[in-house]
Amino acid sequence: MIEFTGVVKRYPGCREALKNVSFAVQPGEFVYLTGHSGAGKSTVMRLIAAIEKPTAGTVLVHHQNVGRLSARSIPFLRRQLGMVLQDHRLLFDRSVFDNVMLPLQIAGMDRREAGRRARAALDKVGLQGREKSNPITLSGGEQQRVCLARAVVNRPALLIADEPTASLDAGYANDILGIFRDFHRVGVTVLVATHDESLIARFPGRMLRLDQGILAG
Amino acid sequence: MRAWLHAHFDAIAQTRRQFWRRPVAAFLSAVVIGVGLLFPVGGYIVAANLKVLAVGAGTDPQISVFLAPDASAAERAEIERRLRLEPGVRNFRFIGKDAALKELQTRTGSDDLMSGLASNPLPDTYLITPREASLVAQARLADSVRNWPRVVEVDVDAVWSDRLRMLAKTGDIVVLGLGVVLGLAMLAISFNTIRLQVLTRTEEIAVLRLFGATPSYVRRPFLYFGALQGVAAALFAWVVAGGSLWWIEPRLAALLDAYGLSSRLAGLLPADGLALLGFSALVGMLGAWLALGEH
Ligand SMILES: Nc1ncnc2c1ncn2[C@@H]1O[C@H](COP(=O)(O)OP(=O)(O)OP(=O)(O)O)[C@@H](O)[C@H]1O
Ligand SMILES: [Mg+2]
Repeated sequence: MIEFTGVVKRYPGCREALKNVSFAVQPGEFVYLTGHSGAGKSTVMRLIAAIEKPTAGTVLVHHQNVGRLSARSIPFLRRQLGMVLQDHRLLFDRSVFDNVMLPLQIAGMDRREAGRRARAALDKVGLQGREKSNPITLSGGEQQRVCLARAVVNRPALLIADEPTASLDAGYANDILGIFRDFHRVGVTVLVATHDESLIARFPGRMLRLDQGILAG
Repeated sequence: MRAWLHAHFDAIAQTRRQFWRRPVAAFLSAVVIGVGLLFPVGGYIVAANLKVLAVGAGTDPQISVFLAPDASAAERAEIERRLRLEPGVRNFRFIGKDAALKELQTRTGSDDLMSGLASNPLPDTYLITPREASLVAQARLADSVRNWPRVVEVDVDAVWSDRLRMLAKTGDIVVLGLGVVLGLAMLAISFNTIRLQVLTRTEEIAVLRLFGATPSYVRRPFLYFGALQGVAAALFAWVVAGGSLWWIEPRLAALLDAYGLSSRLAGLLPADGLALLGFSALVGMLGAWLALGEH
């Protein structure tokens, strides 16, 4: 599903964020990506979503070489991907419902069908009844759930989440991770970046640990 | 096809939302562009009317022959005999000085035109319709008539119509120039309003891109917005120009009648209006396209 081979990422005017990183995530796996702050977790996520291009090495997603993808193909890669970003990137000029609708609208789905799916996604994350609210009026944990609903609304086979439980208390974090587990159970491949080791202890899974851009076991 | 239609409906819905986000600003920019459009549109109408005048005056060329004020009846008879013999004359009409005065009085509506004058200052006049309409033939005829006894002046209307025609041609060039300059101004206004929208929505655009929007998906609502703003501006200009003509026509009718010209003004034809709409929409869209830059 995901395959990194000798990936190096150097941001302009910065030391290397990733140094020769190689790993693979098989379809149906649940994988944690951990490491200290600045270790390069978000960089890995951004490479998968083609937000950044690798300086060297290859990044394969769905057998596509993401680093070589033409600008025209990138949108279609992203539509196959469920993505929860470290900064929420919710739009505060529209309702929760419209935020969740966004990926379907972009994909050109019929509005009625899209609405049905968006409601189903909101149900799944426990936000039924909050559809009309503005996301700014929601708590941090609820906003995370909206992000999660938006990530899964197009029913992706691969779900990547960057610190989806950051700044949440343990109860909320458990709820959110439980939802990821549910998706994993129905066959979705999940990659979660987190530095919360206690969470990993409660929900065991394969772990990839980054240390200053180097993958350590 | 369905997907394509859907994409466009979606873009239209977004465009509508874009409008309602800042309805006053959008309305006012359309008005500003519309006012800018009024200049070339007004110029175009003036030029069109000049052309109608030039053509109207040109189809019926006339030469006016003015006699000396003290020309006698015998002298007039001599003039008429020569006119009949002159091969370049198709027909002619005599307007006596008294008749001319009366006509002037009814035309201006005042009876006391003569109050300050000792006698009728208007001359006896012959109106000649030449056989040939060409300017050369008219000039030749005028030159020969000018040498006849008691003729003080010969006036070839063609000179006037010729001037009009030249004026109309100049008008066309001026209108074209105005059109180009104001087209650029419109482009700048459209660019500015849409640039502002793009800047206030950079976050939204970034999120759209993150969730798989193609560049054309992002661009489409802005392009529609630019085009609609252009159309609204053109409609504004069309309505204002049409309204002005409607207001001015009856007020100008008396003047035009006095010159024996049609009192119907040439306005904007539907085809002109549609061309205006199309041009304006295109310029609006181009402004939006430039404003989007690399987005
Ligand atoms: N856009 C960027 N431009 C320059 N340097 C960057 C950029 N993004 C990240 N970096 C650098 O790359 C390194 C890895 O950053 P990254 O965001 O991947 O870390 P992270 O593991 O996600 O950290 P955190 O847990 O704080 O989110 C850091 O040293 C960071 O300063
Ligand atoms: Mg990070």
